[in-house]
Amino acid sequence: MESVTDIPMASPAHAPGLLATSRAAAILLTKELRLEFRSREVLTATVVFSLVVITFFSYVFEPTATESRRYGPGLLWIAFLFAGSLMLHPSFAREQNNDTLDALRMAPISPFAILLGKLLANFIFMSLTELVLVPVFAVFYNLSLAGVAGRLTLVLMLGTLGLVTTGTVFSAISAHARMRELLLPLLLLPILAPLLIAAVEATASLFAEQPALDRTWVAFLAGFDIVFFSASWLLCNFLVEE
Amino acid sequence: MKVRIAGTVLVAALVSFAGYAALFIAPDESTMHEVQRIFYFHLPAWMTSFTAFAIVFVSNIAYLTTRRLKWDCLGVAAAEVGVACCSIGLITGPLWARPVWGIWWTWDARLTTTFILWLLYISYLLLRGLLEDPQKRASLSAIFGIFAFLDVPLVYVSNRLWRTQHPQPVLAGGKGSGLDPTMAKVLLLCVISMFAVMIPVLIDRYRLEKLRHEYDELRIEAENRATDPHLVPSKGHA
Repeated sequence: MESVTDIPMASPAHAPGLLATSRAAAILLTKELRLEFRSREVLTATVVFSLVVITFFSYVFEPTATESRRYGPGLLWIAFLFAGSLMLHPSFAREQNNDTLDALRMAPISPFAILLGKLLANFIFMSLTELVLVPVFAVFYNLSLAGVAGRLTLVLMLGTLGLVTTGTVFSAISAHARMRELLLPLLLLPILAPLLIAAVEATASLFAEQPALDRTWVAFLAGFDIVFFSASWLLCNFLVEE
Repeated sequence: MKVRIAGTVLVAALVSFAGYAALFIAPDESTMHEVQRIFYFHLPAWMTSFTAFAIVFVSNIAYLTTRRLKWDCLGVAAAEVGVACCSIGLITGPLWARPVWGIWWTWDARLTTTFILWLLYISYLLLRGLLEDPQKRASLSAIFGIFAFLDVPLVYVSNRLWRTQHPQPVLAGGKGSGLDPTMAKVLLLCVISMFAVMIPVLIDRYRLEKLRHEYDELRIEAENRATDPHLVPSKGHA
């Protein structure tokens, strides 16, 4: 929390400008990262959970190269979506234990900075999880990443951005509810249905025998991100208000 | 009260006549025969549920801009009616699909979209049930409602690109679409009767929700009076 006081004091009467918002978001991002890397609780739990999920998939189907090409992308994204719906819960719930969200609200920063800081932190956590999981998945399921790593990173980044954008907003919503741990996946997963289809199809196009990035689905993923990122930006005032 | 009884009788008569017309007056469909008659319930149910979900979206935006709880009441009323009508669509659909397509369900664009829509609005209602504070409930569920509605076209487009099997729109669906005139009249009657059921239910549910809010406010006020020794009970408040 100490870092919040470092924010350049914008007059509360004026809406903070773009520069002030990005500075505040950067400071909050540092705070989130420091908090997480002190304990690494969320990251460890997410990586282990995803590993359990992909191990269980190997019981469900034979992990040969042809089978993996057919089912692999779907399994990978389902593992990410489930992991994300669990990982994103503490993002706002953690702020409630010591009422630290009130302190953030009182800071002379735009509400979007609070959301953006958390969103970027979640993006980094999710990316780190994927960084561990994708190579492990490729080894376990005989998929070759050679030659597609760059394009796969693009698909993963677009998919992850959509996941953490909606997920961070819903984490702020579910933090106020009863049974909030159970509620977040229920809110989040149906919304992510189009993202799942697009991400799976785009990933599958890279794991095919002749890898070629399916541009339609990449464009769709980008569209999904833009729609929900803009909606989060427009609605964030209502999200973090008292 | 008299208006209520008269209204109920009128709606009941309308619905009975629409049901009769759909089953006996509408001409036989050339390939699907009797099974096709479920269409007179399926399409109106879909129209009412979609209207209801659009009302949820509008009331969500209206609540966030005006902060008046009546919009929140309208939102929850419309969401419940929408889920009910959507359930009718989801039940009548497979009943028709089994004899015509040979399968109960297929993961086609419109079917999947409707199913996801149904799940989203059930989540919306669930979320409301789990938020205690009325102001928080109203604003947070409104945000979720807006996200849910924005998701619908995305679900549709993604499934459309993926695979599709549902019949092309019968009305205004381009070449070869259109209905027999009698069929069209029966369909219109069914649509009207479905809306005639939906709108009074929506209004009733809206009033009930407003009464609940008033009751909650009075209860909280009474509790505050009971616990606060400085407040003297005043006249004029229940």
